[in-house]
Amino acid sequence: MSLPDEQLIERTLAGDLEGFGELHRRYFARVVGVVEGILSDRSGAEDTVQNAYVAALQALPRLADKDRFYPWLRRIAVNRAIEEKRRLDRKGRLHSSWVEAGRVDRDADDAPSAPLASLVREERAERVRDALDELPDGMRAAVVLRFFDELPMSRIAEVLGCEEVTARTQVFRGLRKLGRILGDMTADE
Amino acid sequence: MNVSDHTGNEACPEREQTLELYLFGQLREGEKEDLREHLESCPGCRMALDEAVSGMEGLDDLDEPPLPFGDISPRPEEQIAAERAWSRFVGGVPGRENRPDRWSWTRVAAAAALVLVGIGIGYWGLPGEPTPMEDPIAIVSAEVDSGAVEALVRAEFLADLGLPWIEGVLELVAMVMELDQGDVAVGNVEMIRARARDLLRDGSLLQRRLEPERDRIFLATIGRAAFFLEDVAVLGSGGGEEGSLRELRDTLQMTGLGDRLVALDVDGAVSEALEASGWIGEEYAQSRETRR
Repeated sequence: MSLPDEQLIERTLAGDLEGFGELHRRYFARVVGVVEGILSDRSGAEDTVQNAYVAALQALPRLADKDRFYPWLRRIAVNRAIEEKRRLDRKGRLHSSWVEAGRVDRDADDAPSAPLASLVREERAERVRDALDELPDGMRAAVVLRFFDELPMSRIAEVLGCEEVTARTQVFRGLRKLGRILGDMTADE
Repeated sequence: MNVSDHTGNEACPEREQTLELYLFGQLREGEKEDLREHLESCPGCRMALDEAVSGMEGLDDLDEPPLPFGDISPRPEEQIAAERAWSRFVGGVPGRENRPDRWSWTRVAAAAALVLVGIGIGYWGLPGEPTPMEDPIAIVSAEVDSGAVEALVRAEFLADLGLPWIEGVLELVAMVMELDQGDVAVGNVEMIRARARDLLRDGSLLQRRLEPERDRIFLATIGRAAFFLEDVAVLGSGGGEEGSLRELRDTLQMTGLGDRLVALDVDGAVSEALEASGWIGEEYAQSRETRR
């Protein structure tokens, strides 16, 4: 008889890591499927999910809703996959720069920026980060994955575990809500 | 909450998909024209679009893209909690309390469990004593399939890798099982990783080769092993007593890995086992002294 996630987690937290082994067997392939959609690389996806399991094991006491292990694990794995994807993208861009131009143009980055402008920019960024934090989990993920990572909507839907139509709606409503929050912040100042 | 409730202006639900595509420049010309016409007559959709554009402009202000789900990385104290869980687990390995006084090579397999336990406790720390062990080097042996394989395996990991040594130790157990009997092998990391994955997916392989009680432990252990791998050098040896020892030593020299393999002394158990076996002897003592 298979135990529910909640009991497996309780066993793990009590020191019986066999429970966690069962959670691994139960969800590994599913999460790899989601992550593979982001990385387009099976092997990389498996590594990422393994690492996500490590993080999950370590943070397990912090999981408040013990019967929500799978979505929680999936979120951890998606975060890690996105980090990996961005790292690979940066690497690819850097490589392309070298190949195409023969060198990386660092002039723009090296140019000193005015301290005041820099401060203002950082404050604005901080405000946007705060606003993003106010979005519900799925909405925030939809916005980030669409805007920054330019994932196809089908992939975003996989990550969110919903239909594409819903994912697209989440993106739009998320952006809208973000704009409204930012507007409110500006009005309060 | 319906976003439209907040503003008092209702965006047309059937237009949200189109508005999203419009924002990301994915509408065809005719579709754009239709939308523009609609926007002229629909204040709700106009407002929704304005708000979404503001949101996008805000995102442009970020230098670094945020993570989709925010940062849910483990905290330092949670790391310790996991370590304690592990410590409790390895504390339950049968036979741990029955260490023999003298160690023959044929009993190294039994010693392996002890070493593993010793290393686990040494590294992870007992509850209340989460002090990492310096130089986390491991020696592990596995007796599999009624003594067909007796393996001595050593793995050295960089101390700053933290967790990975555990996985390496346990993956090498997996590899030793794969070696079957009498073989000596040097496994590269990728091969071992791939092997560990296979073992993870195919519990029956382990079921077939391990004794029931030990199987329970190894299966769980190997399952966890794959969580932690970073880098590991692994050697396994099996077969007859003297032959396997010589074979292992020769292999170490041939592969140039000998220098990397320095024995670990966990509460004297490993050195006792090695010295009792008559293997390495002086070399081992010297290396141990050097490390001190």
